[in-house]
Amino acid sequence: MKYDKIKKTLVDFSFILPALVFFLYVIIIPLISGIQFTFTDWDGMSAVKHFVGLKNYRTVFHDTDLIQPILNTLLFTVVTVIVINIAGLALAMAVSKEFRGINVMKSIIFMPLVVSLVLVSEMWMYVYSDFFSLLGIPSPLIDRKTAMLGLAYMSIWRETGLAMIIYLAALKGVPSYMYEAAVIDGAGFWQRFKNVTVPFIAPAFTYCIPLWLAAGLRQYDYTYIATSGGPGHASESMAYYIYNYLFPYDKVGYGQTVAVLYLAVCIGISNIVTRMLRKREIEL
Amino acid sequence: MNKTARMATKTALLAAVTAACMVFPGFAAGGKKITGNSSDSAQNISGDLNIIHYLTETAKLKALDDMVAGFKTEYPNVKVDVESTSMDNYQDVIKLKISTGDAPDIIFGSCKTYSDLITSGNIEDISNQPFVSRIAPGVLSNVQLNGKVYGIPLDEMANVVFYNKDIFARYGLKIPHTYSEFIAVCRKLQQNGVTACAAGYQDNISVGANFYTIFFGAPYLTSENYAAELIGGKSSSGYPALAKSLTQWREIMQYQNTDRKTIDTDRAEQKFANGETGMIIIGTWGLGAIMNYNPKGNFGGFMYPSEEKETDNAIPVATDDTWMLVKNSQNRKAALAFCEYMTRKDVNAKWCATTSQLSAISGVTVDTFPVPMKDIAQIAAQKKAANWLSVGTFSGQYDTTWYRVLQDYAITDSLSVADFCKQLDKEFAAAKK
Amino acid sequence: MMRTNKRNILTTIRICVLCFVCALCLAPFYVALCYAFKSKSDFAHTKLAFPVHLYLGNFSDAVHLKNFFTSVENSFIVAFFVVVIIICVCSAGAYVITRRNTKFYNTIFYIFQLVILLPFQTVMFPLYKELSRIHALNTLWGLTVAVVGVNVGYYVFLYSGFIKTVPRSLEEAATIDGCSQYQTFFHIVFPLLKPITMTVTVLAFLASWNDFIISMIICQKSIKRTLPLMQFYFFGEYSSNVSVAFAAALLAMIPAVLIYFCAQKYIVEGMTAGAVKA
Repeated sequence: MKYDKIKKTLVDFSFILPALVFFLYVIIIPLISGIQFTFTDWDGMSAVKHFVGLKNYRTVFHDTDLIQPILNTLLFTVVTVIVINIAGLALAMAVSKEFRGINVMKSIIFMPLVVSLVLVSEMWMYVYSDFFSLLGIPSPLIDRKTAMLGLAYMSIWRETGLAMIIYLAALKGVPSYMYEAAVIDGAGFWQRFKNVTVPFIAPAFTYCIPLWLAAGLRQYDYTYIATSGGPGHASESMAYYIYNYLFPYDKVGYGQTVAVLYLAVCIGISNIVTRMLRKREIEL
Repeated sequence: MNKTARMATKTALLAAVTAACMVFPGFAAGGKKITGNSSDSAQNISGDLNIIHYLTETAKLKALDDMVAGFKTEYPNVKVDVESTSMDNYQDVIKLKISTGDAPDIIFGSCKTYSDLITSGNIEDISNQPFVSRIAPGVLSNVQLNGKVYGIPLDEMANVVFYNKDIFARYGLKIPHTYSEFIAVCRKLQQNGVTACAAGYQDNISVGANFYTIFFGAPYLTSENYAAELIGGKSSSGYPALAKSLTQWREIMQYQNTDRKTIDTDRAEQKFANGETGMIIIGTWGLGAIMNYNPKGNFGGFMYPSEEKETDNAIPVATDDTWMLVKNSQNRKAALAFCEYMTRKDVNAKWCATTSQLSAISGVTVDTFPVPMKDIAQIAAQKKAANWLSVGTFSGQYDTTWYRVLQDYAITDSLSVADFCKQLDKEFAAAKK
Repeated sequence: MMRTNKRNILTTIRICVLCFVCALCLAPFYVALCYAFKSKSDFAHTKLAFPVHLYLGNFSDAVHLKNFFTSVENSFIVAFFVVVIIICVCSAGAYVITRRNTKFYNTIFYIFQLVILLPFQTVMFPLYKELSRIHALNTLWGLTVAVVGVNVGYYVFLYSGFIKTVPRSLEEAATIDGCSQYQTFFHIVFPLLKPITMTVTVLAFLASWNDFIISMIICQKSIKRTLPLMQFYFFGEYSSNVSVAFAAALLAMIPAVLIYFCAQKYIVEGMTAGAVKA
């Protein structure tokens, strides 16, 4: 009997084993060994590492250079999460009623997702410099105040299609009789939306918002390719800041410290947001 | 003989020597060809040779292709692989490659700018190699660090102003010899509806084109040790020459094309070549591209006048196109053979002719320069030159930061000189984290 | 009568807005087209006017560019293996997590969820040193391992959301009939996962195909580069001849676009069926 139980546990475990192996090797082990770098002043190239205790941590807490990337990343994340979700939902509602050509439109709106981030950045760089100048609008990427917004718009352009598809799928799950009942009860558009649509698509919110929250906090490619953080540090994201210290600046000890602390902050934010959304979902 | 006469004699002698060099190639010192160790015949050296660079100008790419092709005919058993990346990401890529163990054998780059690679022990010391004696003695310090030679410069670059002779003739303009005259020229062009200077600040190269021309002449000569001092912690506001250059730059920007913030240097070169602007402030490394865009262009070149007294002006001349060997490379023999090949007079002459650059190898002369380059060659020989790479410059994080803050200054009009100094100091302090 | 008019007006507004949005979506592609189909000098003159003469010189230049086809090949190989491995590994892992509600598996699930927002930079350097140590750098299999590892958490999460909606009755019946765990999973459960597997296939393919930073760190050597990396270097190298770079980019988009058009139906199906019903 006991032998059977052990066998069953092992069999169960074998299902998750491959996933665990990849996960441990690529994520957990590097994460832990990375923490050991944070206590050194290693430059990533020499064979020698000097132990410096908590010096890197102290530097991080006094580091005023971190303020700009943090603000930039927050701006980017908030703008993209809000706009992508609202635009995605609005588009989903707009395309939910079938009419001729709707599938073509859906495909066109989803197309940007097929393009790599490299290409998105490159195309938009030239759109901003050539196309915008034709319309007389200055390119957002050359002005400190609007650089990050310029990058945010690239992301919005690309990701809204996915949001639209997800919300569309969610909308399909709303039973139509609920709408009919609401109309009979005399509910207007907004009331219908608030009381019928939103509760049913709440799971979609719980899925989408953390997804783009994570993407925004991790944002690196647009900064690296389109502006290299410029002008000045106006479009530098946290991930880009960390990358700079890890590779070009040869300060692996310090860079890894920032990375580890940033991960902790991200996990904290994500936890809070997910918990809030779950609560809201259950309420609805 | 009085002083003036002595000066005149010196100048005349120099001119005579220069003329003689042009007429009698091979006249100058050291005409013998140094061959490699006789036991390493060309057939014996085999394997790969990995070269990496960040050149984008068509003329230089062609020159490199020709040089590699010539090398391959002489060393048929060596497989040469040339890779390139953009200058903006070059540092990342090199470091990634070296840390990965995928280091190339020969890398492109100035010894002073990549001195952090040298100090961390990744570049081979070639002081004792026979071909090092071929480098022109005047520029040897550009490729030395702590007295040891680490790189091979192929040519020299001068930072100048190229101008459109037709446009100048049309408005009756003469070459300016003082800063006020230069601004007057800009103003006159502006008044007549012609953009005075072409520029494109979308890339890092534009900083090297515009600011380096403005600063690395006479202003640089007042503070040659600026790099070491700034890295050491001295504030950048303690350099009046730097402040003057930044102010000049800001004033000149008014006379540059209105779309300068959204185009890059290559497009600026195109604009100038197409006759859309009267001048372009750039290094001689850009001439190849300009001539390519408009082979029939009627262009000339003059020294940027940063001072108010003509005789105070100096032209920035430094080594360009430098190649370094990576230490402990697996293909060391092939790499050394390539270096020996590059420094031969005939090979280098061909390089300089294709790229229209002055040579950094002793005794190499080129008589096929386009007109603007002939002007520059004359100026470089006769006027005061500032070799701004002989002492030192920034590298690593300092270099990236220096470029970044300068580019920010170019794009953000509201940034004052004081703001610039504050920003630079702050960033340099951050590099010590 | 009034109602119909109002509805017509609303519909018209809706269609206009949608058309505008579509135009916005297509605008950057149009810019790329203009660059790609015009020669460099032509572009300088006509800028963004519609390309009247389709100049194909850029495309022929692009195709002759060093390692163009190799990088497409590399991207395909990596994407294929990444998708296959993820489907097998994540479906199995999600199955056991959803079905065995023990603390052990729940903790693993929780950690998987957390890692979804891991910035790659946090593990970038140690991972890179480790891969270097086992000589996995500049290899496609090293890249595959890294991409799978980074994404495994997210796809387990996706799969588990869907598996929760699959009734256990079938599995229980199979067990009673004497099937082993493995047989139950492969023959009964996995086929039922078709919609979500389709979604995962498309998303994982896109994630691997479009990945930039992991490829940049791991596959530096030009022969081993993947498509986004090649595009990036092209735009840098050809900054003076961007038309060619855009032509190369457009060519590179074709496989991804084709796969997308074929699989569109499944994406929506998969999303509808499970991803949203977490």
